[in-house]
Amino acid sequence: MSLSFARALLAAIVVLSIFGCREPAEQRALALMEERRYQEVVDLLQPEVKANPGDFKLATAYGAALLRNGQASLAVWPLRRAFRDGPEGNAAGNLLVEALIAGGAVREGIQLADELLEANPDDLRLLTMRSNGHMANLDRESALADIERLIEAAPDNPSALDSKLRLLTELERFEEAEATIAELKALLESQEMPPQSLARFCGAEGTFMHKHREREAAAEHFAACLEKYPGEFDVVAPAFLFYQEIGEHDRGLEMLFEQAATPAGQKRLRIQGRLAEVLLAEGRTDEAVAVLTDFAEQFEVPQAWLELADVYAVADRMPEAAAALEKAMEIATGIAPGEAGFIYMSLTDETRFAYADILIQVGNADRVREILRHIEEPVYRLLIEARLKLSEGDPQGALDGYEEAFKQWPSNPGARYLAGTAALQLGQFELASEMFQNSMRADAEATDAGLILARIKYLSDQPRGVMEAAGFYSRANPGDLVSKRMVLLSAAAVGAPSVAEAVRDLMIQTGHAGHASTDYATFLSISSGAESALEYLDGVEGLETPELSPALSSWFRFMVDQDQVDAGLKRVLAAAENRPDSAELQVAKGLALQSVAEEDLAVEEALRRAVELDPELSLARVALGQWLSAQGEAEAAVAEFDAAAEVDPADPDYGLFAGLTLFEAGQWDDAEPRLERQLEAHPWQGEAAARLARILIDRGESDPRVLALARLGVEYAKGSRQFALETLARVRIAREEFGLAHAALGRAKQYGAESPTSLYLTAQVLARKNKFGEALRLLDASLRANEFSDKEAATVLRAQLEARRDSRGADGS
Amino acid sequence: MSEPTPKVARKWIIGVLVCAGLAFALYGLLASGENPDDRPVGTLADIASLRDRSDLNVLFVVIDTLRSDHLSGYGYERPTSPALDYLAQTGVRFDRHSAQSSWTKSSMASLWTGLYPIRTDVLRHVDAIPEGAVLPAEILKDAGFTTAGIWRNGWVAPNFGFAQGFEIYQTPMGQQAPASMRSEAVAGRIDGTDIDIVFTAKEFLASNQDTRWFLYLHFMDVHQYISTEDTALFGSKYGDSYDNAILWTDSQLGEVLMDIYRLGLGKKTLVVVVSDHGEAFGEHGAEGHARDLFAEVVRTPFILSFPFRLSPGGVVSEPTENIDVWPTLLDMLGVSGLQEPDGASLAPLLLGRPAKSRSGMGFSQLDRNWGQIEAEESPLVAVRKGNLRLIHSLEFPDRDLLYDVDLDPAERNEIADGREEEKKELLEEVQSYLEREPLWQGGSEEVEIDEMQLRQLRALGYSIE
Repeated sequence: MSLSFARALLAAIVVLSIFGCREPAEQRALALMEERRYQEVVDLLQPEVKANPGDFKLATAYGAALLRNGQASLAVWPLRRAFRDGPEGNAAGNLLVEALIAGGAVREGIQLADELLEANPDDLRLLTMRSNGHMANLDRESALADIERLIEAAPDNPSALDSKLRLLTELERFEEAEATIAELKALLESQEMPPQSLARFCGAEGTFMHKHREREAAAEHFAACLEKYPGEFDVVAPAFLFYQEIGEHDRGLEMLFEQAATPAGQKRLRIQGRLAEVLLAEGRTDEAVAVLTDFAEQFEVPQAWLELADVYAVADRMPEAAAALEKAMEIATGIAPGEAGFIYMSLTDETRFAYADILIQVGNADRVREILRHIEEPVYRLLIEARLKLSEGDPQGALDGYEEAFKQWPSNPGARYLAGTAALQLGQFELASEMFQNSMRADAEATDAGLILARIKYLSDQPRGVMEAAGFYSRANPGDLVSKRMVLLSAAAVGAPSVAEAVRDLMIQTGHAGHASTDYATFLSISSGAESALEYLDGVEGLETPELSPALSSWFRFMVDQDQVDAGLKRVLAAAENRPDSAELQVAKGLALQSVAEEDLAVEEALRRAVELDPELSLARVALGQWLSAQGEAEAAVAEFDAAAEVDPADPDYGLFAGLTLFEAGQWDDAEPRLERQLEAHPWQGEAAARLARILIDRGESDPRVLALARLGVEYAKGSRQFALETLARVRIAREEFGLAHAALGRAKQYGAESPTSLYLTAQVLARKNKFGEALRLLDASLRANEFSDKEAATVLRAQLEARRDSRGADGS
Repeated sequence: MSEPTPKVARKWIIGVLVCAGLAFALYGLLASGENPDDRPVGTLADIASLRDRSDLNVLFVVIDTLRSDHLSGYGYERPTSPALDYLAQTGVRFDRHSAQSSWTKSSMASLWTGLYPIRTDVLRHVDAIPEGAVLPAEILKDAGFTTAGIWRNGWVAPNFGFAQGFEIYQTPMGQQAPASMRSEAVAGRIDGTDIDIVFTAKEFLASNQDTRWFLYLHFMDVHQYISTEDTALFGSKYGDSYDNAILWTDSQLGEVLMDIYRLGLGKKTLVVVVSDHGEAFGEHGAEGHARDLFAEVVRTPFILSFPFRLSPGGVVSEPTENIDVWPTLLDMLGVSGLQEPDGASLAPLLLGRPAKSRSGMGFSQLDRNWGQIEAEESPLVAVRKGNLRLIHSLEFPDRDLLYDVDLDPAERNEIADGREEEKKELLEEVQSYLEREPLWQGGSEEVEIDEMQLRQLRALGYSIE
């Protein structure tokens, strides 16, 4: 029993004893208090206090019981009343100080302690409480004064000296801190402390030296500590932090490697774990995995496998994460999950939930179902069931489950995000927007829902929505460039020049001058015309530098718009020539040369040179890929897009470009899995959905999923809406929904001249309505087109219709 | 993407309902005829005699983030607020009430001082009410009240100057409720729930029932979207969850009211309910609050319940503001002391007389960069005059928005086109507003926010850089 506890208990018992002999209830309270059954004391005394609020003894006892029951905030009130109403110096005073400081009224606790200490300056318990109060208020000077008084009263207390050292260091009173270190050192040596404690002190002393700005001395001290206490985490951790803070990360990492290799370090998970953590943060995932795997396999402790699972999960390597998690469970329980006798109830509900969630992601639905039977918390169950349904192609079931779960847990950003995905799959676009909006609202940093929302608003021509969603996301993720660009580009349509300027300046400040100038010029060209954009870019300093190469390309495009190709080209070529080592400027050169028809070889040469100069420059890869794609070199183009995606896996466009290239090249068998993967990662990508639907309908599939894909295409394939509508019409025809097919084709006309495909599809619809004459006229018109992918099918249909017309001898039209 | 582990243990919530039996308690009891509210029936004229009483207590309730148009008593179609409705039906409801900001600290500084934000100068996250300010708790303490504040929003912490005058200004530690009811918040990230406030308040009432008191309770569960299985009646969208949280918080307020009535304190307690700001659900693009000044984030409730019951309750349809609240209450209590408030007592309005010093205009203000210490000021000011309300941004002056709030209280239809004269006139009012000096020499105080406090504030969902 601690001193403080014993004293408070004693005080409460004394109070109870005073009146304990009067009433049976109070005697019972006394007995319960002695047995530490505080809740029962509270229950017993509460009605008494309510009936007699002015009885200070009763209030003291009740307050003491509340305090000991962990209800300091509640204890404040009866104790305050007791202190106020009782005689001077009554027992409630100290209890009230404790209740105030622990119960959320620190300021008042300190004030009362001040008063009480004036009357009783040697009350060490009060001094300790007040110093804790000062610490909680971050009033270090006052806390130190109290600690010094406590040390004066009990000089052999290492924990008080340790607190003093910490406070002096924080107050930057280094000379006094040095003296305290000496005192503490002497004390520790005289008390035969265990090596771990001495190591901890050694590390703390090094930190002090560093804070004292004795960098070299600190380095030497840490080196000495590490030699004396190799592999001790309490030395290794502050030493690593020291190297970090002085900007010598590599040296720190080297030290971590060395310490992890010492005999003691090899046995310490905290050292190995820290090393893995640092490696992971550097993107050296494989090395992090190796460090933890070696340890986990050697020592077979569950925690090591759990940390390994964590590393895999962070790296999005879910199958390995699941395996590591299972190994941890196997070691902990002696039986592997899934084997007979494994008891899921031996895990916590949270672990069951997390494990099931990972298993869904690795496709182990059977085991998820098994775990589901053991998950107790209803909302966990709902969430796992919903995600399972989503993974098994039942978006409606998933959505229903999520809706139910949100009633209990409305602010789950991950679940809102997945519900948005389910809604997209169902073609419920409004609901999808709302779910992504809600996910962003719940936690805009947890997922990229805000970016998705901004993208779908852009794809559905809602510029204000783009600005709002991207603005929201950008505020929560200040390092994100994409959202800033979206805000800037949407500002023109919204008519917000001041916003555009502000975002441009912010982008420049955060090191994205190239995109800032390019996008602002685009904004100007939309809001005020190409001349304004050109004028602005002409005024941008350093337009020929590699950093501003996107702006130079943009400038060139505006020059082309103004029929100043030669002058523009001259400047771009000169810039590239001046900096032949710049991959960025080679890209600018390649892009500019594309506008000069005779320069094909030079275009490719420039873009290949850019890739050669900087293979990691995704801009170069994509430019080359698009060039190759336009030249009909689909496989080479796809290789470049893949390389770009490897450099920047978060960019949704590179994978799409690859899929579209294969689709346009007619390599649909190769395009299909790529498009599927695109939609899995980016379920909003209408361009991918429209192509995938087209491939599937060609294969004779027209089930609800194909229809949903086609609808997604119509909604979000901003660049190829006519194609998407024609694809939707194909699906409708296959599903024998001819009226809806006709409507889709009618909408397709809004996006350009009636294509031969539209004519052909309309003919199909008319034929179904027995309007053979009209259908044949449309087929004839479609067959007159030079480029018409359905020419063969149209010819066959024409023949069939002619035959049918002839056999009927009449035209229904 | 893995779904994060929720901080959920709903069983306690059911426990709350079963053990306390107080969700909808007030409403249920009243409906069943077991009405512990033994206040006598009175009339509006009785308000004038309140100042003569020396036994009056004040329960001052701030429900954080409560927009008035989501309360059934304010015409909302969902039954979200039975306890509040009861107070309004037996008291007075101010139908067109507004807060002075959409961000707690700025709004609360105006609420307590009766000053517009430009005059409190509490506009940025480091600003604090100076010690020289005289706040209502100080006035009431001097008048003999036991003063206590129980709060859970870090923006009203003592270092921002809000504790002035409170003998105890307490943020209850999480899990103060009995063990059977303890748990972490369902949806929130801050420890505890308003149950902690309710239980602490009940201890306060039990211990101080025979004294004269002023108790300020600042509820946070609406801000945190916390509800229970039994109060999650309205669906799963964010707006639905918000309504669920209102119903839950209303039930918690009901518990406190029940305690007051059962202790026989209803006959001598003035109950006041207000809010610091509302909440947006994308009506104008933004979510949450503290980002703009549209109706959804500044239209808040103001309900007064007297130590007697009105039958029927009164409704004030004239526009009123949070800066009027304390001038009104102090006027009713017959004490004075607020320093040159911009607001005015509404008591004359209740007595059928014109209120003094009311300009017919109202202002709200928000510095859009309130959380960014390095950023320049970016004031957003809204002025209401007659049926028009203009929202003006000094940083983005090309985005002025004008609304006819009589015809369009939700501010959905912007009408600036062709109304240049009216817009100009309102802009002049904004200009004149911005030229006003802070009340205190040197303006607000700047305080240092330590890392711990920053973390707590960020946990409320605020972005502070």
